[in-house]
Amino acid sequence: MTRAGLVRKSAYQDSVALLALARDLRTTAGVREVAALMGTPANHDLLRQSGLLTAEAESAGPNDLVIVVDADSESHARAALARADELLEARQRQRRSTGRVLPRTMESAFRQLPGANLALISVPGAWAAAEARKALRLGLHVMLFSDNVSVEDEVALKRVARDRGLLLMGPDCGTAYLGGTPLGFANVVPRGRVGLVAASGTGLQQVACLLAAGGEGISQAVGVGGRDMSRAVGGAMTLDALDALGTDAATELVVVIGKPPAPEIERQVEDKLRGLGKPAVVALLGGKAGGAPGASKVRRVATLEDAAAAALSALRRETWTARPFSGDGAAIHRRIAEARAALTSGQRAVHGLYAGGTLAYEATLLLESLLGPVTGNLRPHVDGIHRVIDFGADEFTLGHAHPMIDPASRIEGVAALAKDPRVAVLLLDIVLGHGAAPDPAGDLAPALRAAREVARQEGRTLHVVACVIGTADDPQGLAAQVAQLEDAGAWVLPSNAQAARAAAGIAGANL
Amino acid sequence: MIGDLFARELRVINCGLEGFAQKLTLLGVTVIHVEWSPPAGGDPRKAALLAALEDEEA
Amino acid sequence: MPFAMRPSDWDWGGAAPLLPQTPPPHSMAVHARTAASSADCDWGGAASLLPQTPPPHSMAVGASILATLRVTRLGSLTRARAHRAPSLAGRVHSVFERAINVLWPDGRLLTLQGRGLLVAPFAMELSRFPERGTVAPGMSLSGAAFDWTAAECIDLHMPPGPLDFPLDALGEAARAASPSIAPAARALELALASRDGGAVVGAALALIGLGEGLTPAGDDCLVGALAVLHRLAPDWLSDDSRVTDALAAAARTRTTDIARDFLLEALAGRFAESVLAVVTAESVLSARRAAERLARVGATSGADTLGGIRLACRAVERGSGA
Repeated sequence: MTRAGLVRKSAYQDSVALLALARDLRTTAGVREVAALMGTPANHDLLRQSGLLTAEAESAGPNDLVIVVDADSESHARAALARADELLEARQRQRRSTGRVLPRTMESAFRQLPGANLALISVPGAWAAAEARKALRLGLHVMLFSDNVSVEDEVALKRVARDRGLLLMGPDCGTAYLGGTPLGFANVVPRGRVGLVAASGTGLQQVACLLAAGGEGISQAVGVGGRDMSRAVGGAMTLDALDALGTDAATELVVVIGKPPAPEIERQVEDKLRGLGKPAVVALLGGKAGGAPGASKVRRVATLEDAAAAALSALRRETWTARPFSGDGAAIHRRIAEARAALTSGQRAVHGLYAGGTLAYEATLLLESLLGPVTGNLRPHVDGIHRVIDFGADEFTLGHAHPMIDPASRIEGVAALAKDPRVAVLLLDIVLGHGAAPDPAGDLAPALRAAREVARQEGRTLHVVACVIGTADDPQGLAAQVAQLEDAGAWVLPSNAQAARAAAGIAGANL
Repeated sequence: MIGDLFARELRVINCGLEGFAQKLTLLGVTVIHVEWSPPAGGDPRKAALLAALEDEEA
Repeated sequence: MPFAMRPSDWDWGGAAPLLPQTPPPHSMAVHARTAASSADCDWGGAASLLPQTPPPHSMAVGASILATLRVTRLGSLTRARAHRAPSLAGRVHSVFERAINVLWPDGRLLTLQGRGLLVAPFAMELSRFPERGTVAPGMSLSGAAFDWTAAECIDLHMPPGPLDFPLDALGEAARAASPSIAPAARALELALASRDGGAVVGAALALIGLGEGLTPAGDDCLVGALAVLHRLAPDWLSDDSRVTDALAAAARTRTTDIARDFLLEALAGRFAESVLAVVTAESVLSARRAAERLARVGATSGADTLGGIRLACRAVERGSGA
């Protein structure tokens, strides 16, 4: 009979883990007795009374974990303790990781993974720049998912990246496709011939999904972060990425997605596109549409959907003009008219509750052009009856999961709107794909039903208009998500732009 | 070169949310997850200083 | 039936051997104070209660991830504690699947949790629980990180009153009390049944730190018993500071940090919502439901606490004829 003990100082293992550990050890060969206790004075006495108090255990304090085994022999005891150690280590790792022996720093990770070529960084913003710098120094390309990185840090990091011929995607880059691998929040889309450079995550997602719906796919998609095309950053990564897409054999057409940058940056981007020798589509939301002057290969569009449509047409060598709706125009207008007729006189407002920032922005622009002033967190100083809220903005997400993962904030928003007699249309986006919630439509459907019912009981029809950003191959399944929303009474349109237009039409806009 | 990133197999170092590493593993991508904790005792100013010093050495 | 302690000839001086011979570096002198404050957080002792290891450089942590932790529900005293130190920083003590313990500058823990019943009297329900991987032990967390505007303050004091349900409403134990605490628990039950205050304290001291679990089973059992005592005999606990002083001193030195704080709160009459729900249940049905819910808390913590409630209820019923 041999006793052996081990002590882990300040080990706060939860009780479930301790029970499982004790159970496991008891079934180990040659073990007769196991004690897994905190080293309190009372437990010392208990161990002593059971003949299990070892020298190590005596030294343990109340916040230290003591494991003592009583086994048939010395080697059995040692083996059991080794197993305990292993289980404790594994439990610790399991709580934080995939269970391999894990490095604690970027540098040691680099040593353990020869040929590493990308660092995906999502640590809190205060430390993100330092980690990105380490990665670049090691010669890694970087996808910087973290936000709250200062513009000064961004400029400095991208300078280092350029000097070394590296790509730094972000900050606040949530979506990318490299060599066919989706990174971050990304939909399952086929590999194909369109290369994208995007200053926006959900913008990239909308375009990618529509390309997939049109039978095309993505060669590469690079996220450059929302500030890349600003004067301070100078479009550094946008220009470098475009260069790379220019020489990428798999890329036959390039799409740039963002907001209108400073004029000199816009010129540089256009010059770059002209020099690529490949057809290009530029979607700068809120900018002008049309062909870029003197460059028939560069097409400017006003919405994300138009970017995808123009790209598809160019690849098919068809001409393309923008249309407000892609389906049966007459039927859509009829439906809009019927919906409008069902409103009470007080119902005039469109309220957008968005998970995707760029989608919220695009909706805001469209609603403004069709209905008038739109307020909300993207337009905080504007007064208007129409409102668009981006629930993914900092003020809603600091410390919490993003609305693409956690529907709670939007569910609250829907409930709040139900009783507002001025609301005619509730407009929303559902974003699918990797990283998104497993059933976003299912999460929202009860809230939508309930809201419509509340309105109905007060004598109103609350219209719900939605778009689903997703593909058939996404884990959530596009068709199933659309069906759930329609079942809950929503009118689902094929794109964010069409949804916003339909909502505006119901609220009285002249389409 | 960025072109390399497009052409070669991705081998990723994931530093931050472990969900990303798990997702990539499920997609068959080679990824190693860093058990990251704030360096310099949790002081971002100090960490930035250290990083800048290391930069100068490099 | 009224529950009253009888005069005791228990040897209070005999309590001393159960306490460590040399005062540990981080204990405060146990001196006579009102019961309410002896178990309350103590600013005077704060500095000495912080752990021996040098603290990491204190700095408000990752503003981008941990700024604005929106608190939705918490106990009123917890709120007062959190507000007393707006410019100081706490330090993350331990991180679990659904709870994060923070060592606050007053030397006691605050527990962050997601939506649900408050798991501890010192817990704060957040509108959303931080994502796994964003918080690690050792990180500092300042009072400025919390957004209180939507916080609902709950009174977590056990209100005195009778028990509105018979013992069998609490159901049978799903499993026997942990064998390591069975004798000590039995001793507590007998002491309670005999209404011998001194013996009750002696039995309680024997339970502190005893048994399996990060909150040892004996502590959970004692918390449950204290819940019933605060319900039925709050005066006994508040009139005689020797009782709470002795138990508080033991809590501070003879058990884990986490159990210590549960005990200190229990001595002051404050409990987790799942415990309050059982003892203040107003009908057989609600008592049974609350008991079932408590039994499911933690691995065995809830069941051990419920065990303490049961034994105290049995003791009360048994002793009433004495």
